[in-house]
Formats: sequence, C-alpha cells, structure tokens
Amino acid sequence: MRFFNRVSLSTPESVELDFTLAGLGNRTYALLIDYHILLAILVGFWVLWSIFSIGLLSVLSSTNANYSAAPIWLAAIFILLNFAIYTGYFIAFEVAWRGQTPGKRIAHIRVIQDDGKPIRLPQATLRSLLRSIDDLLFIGFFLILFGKREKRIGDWVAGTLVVQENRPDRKAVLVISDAAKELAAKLPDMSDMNQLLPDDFAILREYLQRRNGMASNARTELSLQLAQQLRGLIALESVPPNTTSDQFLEAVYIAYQQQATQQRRPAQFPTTYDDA
Amino acid sequence: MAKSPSPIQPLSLGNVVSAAIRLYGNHLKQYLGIAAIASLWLLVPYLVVLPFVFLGIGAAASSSRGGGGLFFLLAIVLGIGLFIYCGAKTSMNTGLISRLAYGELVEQPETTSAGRERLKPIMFRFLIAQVWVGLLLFAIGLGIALVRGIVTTGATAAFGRQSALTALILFIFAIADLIIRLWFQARWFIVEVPLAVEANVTSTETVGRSWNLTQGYTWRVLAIMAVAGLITLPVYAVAGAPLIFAFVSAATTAAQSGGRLGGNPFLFQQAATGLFGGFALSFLLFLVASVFVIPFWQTVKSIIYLDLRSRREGLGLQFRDRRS
Repeated sequence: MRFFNRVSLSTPESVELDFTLAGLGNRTYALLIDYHILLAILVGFWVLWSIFSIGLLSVLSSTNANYSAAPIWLAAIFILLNFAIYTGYFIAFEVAWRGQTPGKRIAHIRVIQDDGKPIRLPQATLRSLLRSIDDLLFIGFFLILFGKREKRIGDWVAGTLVVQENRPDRKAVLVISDAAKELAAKLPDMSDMNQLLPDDFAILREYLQRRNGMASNARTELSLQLAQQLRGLIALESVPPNTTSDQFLEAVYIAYQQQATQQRRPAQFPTTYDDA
Repeated sequence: MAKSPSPIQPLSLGNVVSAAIRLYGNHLKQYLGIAAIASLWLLVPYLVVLPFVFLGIGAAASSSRGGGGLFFLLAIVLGIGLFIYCGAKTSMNTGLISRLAYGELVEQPETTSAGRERLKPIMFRFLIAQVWVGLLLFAIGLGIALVRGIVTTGATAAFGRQSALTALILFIFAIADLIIRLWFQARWFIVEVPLAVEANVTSTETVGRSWNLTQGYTWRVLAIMAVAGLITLPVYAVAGAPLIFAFVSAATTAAQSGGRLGGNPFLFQQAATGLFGGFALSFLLFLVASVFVIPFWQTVKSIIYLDLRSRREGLGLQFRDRRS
C-alpha cells in the first residue's frame, strides 16, 4: 500500500529483504501498552519496596546502631532500581523475544538491525538508554514522524529499524456446515473447478472469515453476490435445491482445498517393473 | 520474506493511524487550507457580534435609560443567525476534508472545488447532525450523572464519608463514567463521513449510520482515538513551550530580585512582559496547532469509515472480473 514506508535490505549473501516500516501509529500503540505494563510493574515494585523499607527501618530501630544514613541509602537505591526497571524492561524483552516487547507483540512490529539481523544486547541497551532523551520534548516522536527510515535517536545510534511483522495467515477457524461438505464432494464433477485462481480462493476465505462481523443485511447481500459470481466462474449449471449462498460458498472453499491437496500428492511410483 | 499488508485485508489499529498521517502529509497544503477556512468561519460570529455588544455597553453606560437595549437585541439576533450559518460552514468544511480523503483512499480523487460544490447544498445537515450527537451525548451524560449521584449518596449512607470503601466505589464509578462517555463518543465518531461521502443521506440517517458501522468494533475505534489523541499531544506541547519558558524566566527573575519583585519595578516589568508575551505567543500557537490537527482527525475518520465498511459490509470484496 502506498501509505507505508518500505525498506529494502541487502544481506551479505545478496538476498533482498523487503520490510514495511512500523509507522508512527503502531509504535505509539506499542508504547502505550508497554508504558501501562511498566507502570503496573513499577507500582508493584513501589509497594514491595515500601514494605521492605518500613520493615528494615523498624528492625534497625530496635537495635541500638546509628542508622541515620539508612534512609538516604534506601532512597538512592530506590531511584537506581526504578531506573533499572524502566530501562531493563525494554532491554530484557527486546533481547529475549528477538526485538519485541509485549506492546510490540500486540502491535505486530519488531526491532531489527539495519542489515536485517535480529537485535542483540548492545543495540537493545543503546536504544533503551537513549529512550529518556527521545521522550524529552518529544524529539523521538518528531524524528520518527519526519524521518525517511522512521528512526529515533536510539535507532540512529544503535543502528536499528522497527518494522512490521509479516502477519502469518490467520488460522482459518471456519465453521463449515454439513450440507456444504456434502456438496463439496459432488462439486468437482458438476463444475469446472480449474477455473478458480488462488486469488479467488483468497477472497472466498476472506469473506468466510469476516462474515460474522458483518451487518446482517449487508452479509446476505454480499453472500448472494459472491455466490452468483462464483457460479458463473466455475460454470455450474444448477445449484442443488435448498442450498443457501453461504453453504455454496463454503462448499466451493472445501472443494478447492481438497483439489489443491490432491494435486500436491506425489506421483505414485510403480511397484512392479515391466521388462518388456 | 516479509510482505506488505495485503490490500484486501482490513487495516490493523496502528496502521490506520500511520496511513492517516501519510494521507494527510500527501495533501498537506490542500487540507490545511480547508481547515484554516473552517477555523476562520468559526471566528466570524464573534467578530461581528462583539462590536454590537461593546456599542450596547457604551450606550448603556452613557445614557441613563436603557439606551443599549437595541444594540443588545441586534447582537442576540445576529449572533444566533451567524452561529447557525457559520457553524454549518465550519462543519461542512471539516466534512469536506473527510470526503476528499476518502476519494484518495478509493482512488477516485476529487478537486476541492468539486467536493465543495457537492457539499454546499447539504451544508446545514452537517450542523444538524453534530447537534443531534451533542444532544444525545448530553442526555447520556445526564443519565450517568444521575446514576453516580445515587451511588454516591448510597455509598456514603452505607459506609460513611471517610471510609476507604466509599472512596474505592466512587473511584471505580468515576472511571466507569469516563469510559462510558468515551464509548458513546466512539459510536458517533464518524458521524459526518457518511453525510460527506454517500449520496442522499439525511442528518438523522448519518447518525444512525455511524452507530451501525461502529457496531462490534467500538473498542477498536476507541483505541484508535486514544492513539491518535496521543499523537496530537506533542503538537500541543510545542505550542505550550513559550508559556513554560515564560514561567521559568519569570521565576528566575523573581529569584533575582530576592523574592521582592514588587519592590523592584524594573525586574517586575521584565517578568510581567515576559509572562504576557509568553501567554500571547502560546495562545496563538495553540490556535495554529488546532488548525494543523483538524485534518489529521478528519483523515483518521475517513480511514476508519472505509475500514469499517470493508469489515461490516464487505466493501471491496469482489471476485476479479476476468472476462474483460
């Protein structure tokens, strides 16, 4: 689509890799989620630390030692740990999950190095440490918005890109009716299934996946339309009576799948050889 | 190998916002111009009515016998008429941006003047649709406030005013209040787009259309609104920078005087002019920022509209015609 920045990388083995850059929307969404999770973790840490400090101070007060320096130490360690959690959250996830944090996973984006390799600890650390500067005065935001490769300061210094993930094809959890399965068995004989291209199959599957979210009158209309078009495409003369357009579409879907798997089966080797 | 998002699949949440930014960027001057016109129309009623108000005050002050009455009457009559007419103009122009953006999305682009010609006859429907939505949201807000009032009195009666349980209940209801309001705003978020894009739609029909299209996808629209809102924040932050700078410099000037700014006329003047300048500059920048932000929201709405139509009505889901 012409609305997304694309990047083409050449690996050392001269393989061309095409990526779509993540875009400001996805990165903001991921950041929103990440900051919420981070906040939850930090609040949990604050509660635990409070319990710990109060406990420690009460233990110290029961002894006779001079612990006037203790609160200052506690405060200093508290600040340090806060920073460690804030920075460590991103480093840990980006290294462990190969460039994804929980937010990035939900937004389907990933951090990679400039040459397409997955990011390692040095890059993740640099990115995370420079996050504070990028958040200051929204410098990072404007750099992503106007930059050609959508890099913020952390990305420039660490040599990383944030790209959209290749969405694996959604598992087709489709509800196929029994009537459709019966019809599917008969279809190859009744019609010319070879006329169907993979593109048509994709559209068919798209409809079957989307239909539950559709408005009911639009759905019936579209179902009828697609069924009529499909009937014309595969030159089916007569549809069995009492078949709804949805059932017909499901049947064609199943029949196409069966036909495709049959074609992929390897040729059978002869078990005997004729010497003649 | 990674592929770009498939054209027949609906857009993901973040991609809606990214696409809106690109779409806006591709037509920056055009959309910004329309947004500027819309904002100017918003100013017109004030510019016309205010002189009459001042004249009225002047007349009332100078004469002893209600001499300003005529001016005030004129101000009210003109005001109402202008608010309606200029409000319609503003709404129509923002709707125009959505129409043009939608044209780009479905690859049937239109010029600004052609779009305006189409929308001028139904100018007032935009205003009426906004008024409808405003009334609906107001009624809903009243209902929520009523429920909250009952709950508040009930909780205080049951658990006492200082109780932590009361505070918790009130807190939960405050959040629920906000979320419910936002949820309803999301349902009518794209109210002007059907009016701008489809033919023969009345103002009530477009309200219903927005309601129908967002059915089942409200949380998605809400999330898009949140992400888009977050993205507009830095723009406003930049606008507010002079104000913050002015405050900081005023504070340092006060520190310079040793806490006795009033007794030091030179430093006081410096601080005051700095503050005033900061306020004025920030105010202007906020106005400019608002004009910049309007087309972004309108393109977001257009993309949401197209996305919802393909999800809810299967727009664009057709077999390729190979007989041509």
